[in-house]
Amino acid sequence: MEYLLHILILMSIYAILAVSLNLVAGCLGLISAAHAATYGVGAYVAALVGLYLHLSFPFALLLSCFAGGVLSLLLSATSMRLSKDFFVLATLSFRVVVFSIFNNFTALTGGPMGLAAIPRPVVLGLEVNSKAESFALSPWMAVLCCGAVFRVQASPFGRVLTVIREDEILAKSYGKNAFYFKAVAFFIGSAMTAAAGAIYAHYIGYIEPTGFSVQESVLIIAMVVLGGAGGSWGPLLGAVTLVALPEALRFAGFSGPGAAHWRQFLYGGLLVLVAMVRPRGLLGRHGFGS
Amino acid sequence: MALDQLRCEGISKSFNGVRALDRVCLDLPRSGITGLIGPNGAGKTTLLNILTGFERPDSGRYWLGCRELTGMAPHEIARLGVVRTFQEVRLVLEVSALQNVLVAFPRQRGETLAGALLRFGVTREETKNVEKALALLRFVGLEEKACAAGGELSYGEQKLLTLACCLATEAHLLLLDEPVAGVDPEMAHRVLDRLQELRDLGKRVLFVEHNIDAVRRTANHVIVMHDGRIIAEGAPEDVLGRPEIVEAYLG
Amino acid sequence: MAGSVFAYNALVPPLQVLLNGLIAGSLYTLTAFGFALVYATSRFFHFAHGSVFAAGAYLAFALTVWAGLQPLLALQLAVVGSAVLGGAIEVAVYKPLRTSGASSVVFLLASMGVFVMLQSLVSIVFGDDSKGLGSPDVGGVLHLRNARLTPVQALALVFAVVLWPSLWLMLNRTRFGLTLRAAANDPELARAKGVNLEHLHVWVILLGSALASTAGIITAYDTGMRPTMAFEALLVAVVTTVMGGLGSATGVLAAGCAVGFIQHLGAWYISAEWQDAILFLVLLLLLLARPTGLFGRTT
Repeated sequence: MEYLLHILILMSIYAILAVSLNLVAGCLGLISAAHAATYGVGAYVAALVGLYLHLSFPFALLLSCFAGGVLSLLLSATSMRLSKDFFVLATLSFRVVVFSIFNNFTALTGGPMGLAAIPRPVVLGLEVNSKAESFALSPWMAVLCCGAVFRVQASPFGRVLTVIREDEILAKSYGKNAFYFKAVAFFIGSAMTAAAGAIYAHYIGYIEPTGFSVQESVLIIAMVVLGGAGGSWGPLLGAVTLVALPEALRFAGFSGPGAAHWRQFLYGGLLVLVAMVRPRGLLGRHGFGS
Repeated sequence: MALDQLRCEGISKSFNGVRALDRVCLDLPRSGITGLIGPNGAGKTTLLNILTGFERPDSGRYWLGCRELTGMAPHEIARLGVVRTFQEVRLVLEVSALQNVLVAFPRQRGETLAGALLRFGVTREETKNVEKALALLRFVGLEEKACAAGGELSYGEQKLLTLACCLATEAHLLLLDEPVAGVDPEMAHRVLDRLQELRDLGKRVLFVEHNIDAVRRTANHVIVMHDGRIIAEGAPEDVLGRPEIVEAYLG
Repeated sequence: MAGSVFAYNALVPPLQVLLNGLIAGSLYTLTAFGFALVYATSRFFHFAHGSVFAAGAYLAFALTVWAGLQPLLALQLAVVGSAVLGGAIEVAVYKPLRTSGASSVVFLLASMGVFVMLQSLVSIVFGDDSKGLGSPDVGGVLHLRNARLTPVQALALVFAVVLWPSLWLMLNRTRFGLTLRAAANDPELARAKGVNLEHLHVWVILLGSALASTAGIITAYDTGMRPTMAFEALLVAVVTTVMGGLGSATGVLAAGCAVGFIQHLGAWYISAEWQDAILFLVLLLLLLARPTGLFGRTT
């Protein structure tokens, strides 16, 4: 039972990550390499808030969202008006700088060893002791996030995002302030990503830099691509599948130290397969391709 | 609100050392249809791009009434009611014609974040907008294709759709870049008839065209460009008959 | 030795730092050249290029340490093997995608997938720990004033001196090079003039992979190897290509050196740990000032 709840919580975290990436990259077409870095920022902020400021989880969550959003604004203000390629590079630089900070600013972030003993969330005054109780938090948060993103995607706001993705000049010719829409969507996506990081930090209790590396980025991308970018339920399906899959493999006896690498191999292979055979993914509403 | 006059002074633009526009001065008439003609490379599309904010002029300024437009972003100029179409048909091909028109309506409540999430009054507005969109599609004769994807329409139908989208923005000055180029004659007639109806409804139209007959038939006022300059302006009967104009085109 | 920045004589970097910068620059150019070529001719980020870099080192390892082959033979086989790997990726993955008219995003995704697959494969087969290729038994260390130069590093410099003009000549004076540039500028026109684009893409990736794997092998000899070297090489390739200006080969040559110097000078003046961050910040500033890179032409 405990184990199933664990899986559910992991799925919730990745669902938020996949859905927020889909909002930014799938719906809006903004390729950003900053996703895993924002995830890490959310985790570290929440961890530090819990460890040093001794604030309760809701505050940690709020501060993480705020941090994620503010950093997205920084990227937006500096790089969004420039070409798409430049934006990708700016997000890549962001990734590198953030990762350097995680790794090197040992006094604050614990360096390569990371931060440990992050306090469990205190919900409504009741201290949460077992993972079963933090269950009350994450799936609901995932539902909230997914619900918000779906609602936005289905609204006139989402419609404008699609036009911006397809033809930004056309959107501008209709009087739409493309920068505003991009910045807002990016802000929401980043805030959610950071929130997922906060949940991760307080749930697992221990974070370190390699948890937010390129491998993680690829995993999240694989979820979105597999499930189908652009649509709504696709990334959710992708998240659920790619969390469930390795667990299923573990049951089939695929465990041990090499397993993590085999999992990576699988994700990579899945990406290639999807890219080559069905770029629109399982449920994608539009192809990234031809 | 009286329609403000669009005018520009001294607009110059070069690309890679090639002069596309050379100190162009223009006073667009306050009403009616204006045709902008000239051979390829005369600078017509460049002028359109600059007037709508998609390109910055190297020098010169332009106004809408008393309001200076120089340096304004394209979406700001569009919001002021000056909207253009493009030489190459620009549409979202994967969504329906109706959706394409819907997206063009200005000041939608659902386009703010609060509106998207909370939806106060958004459904009502959407329903109204759908009706308006269908009316526009009816106006251009595409109401039967309302649910067809943009990519499924014929080239001529797509051009009509871009006209409908342009109208959806509530523009009072439409700058159309080659609205009937590459379109079969019957469709071209439809488009030109619509333009005349728009004039009767009080909208101003400037359209760029190569088709002299279309211009002669539809426009009240003609501007001729050549090599980045305006070389003639006036009523079609006067301008189009002149030998030097004919020569500029064929010479 | 690691003097504080406030000491006067520490403002001028010692010869060793400059030398290290040059050596790094040579290797970075070797690494980035293939990546830049693929981008110029196919217009997408060949993510898997990093894997080819690592493949050179790991193949060399397998052949020398496991199979016990003579280093000279093993190295050549490793380079050839890596080139074949690159070619295989082109034929198995990129060619079908091109035929189906996929967008550059799909190419990037597929390339990312290949990268991850190869990196995890390396981790599975060789383990995650740092390895070394051992030092080749070739003479001792060279001393220049107060700097030292190992034979491997000298080799890197020799490569640079020989290779750069050769590459430049190839791109500007040989038929292959000119065909390549024509195809990069206007593929349709090139095809119309009878250029076999499919073959060209294969040759481009073979050449690029051979160069990158050579750099990987030299790096492995110089500073050791880990599976993560693939991503580090990729970052270098991206930064160098973009800094040099997309579409310019001379740019890559210049940018490779620039990157090498920036990294080592950055490490000297500020700190070694932040050199990646410094590098990216410099790149961003450069692009803000000059969006087309050092030598780029606007496409």
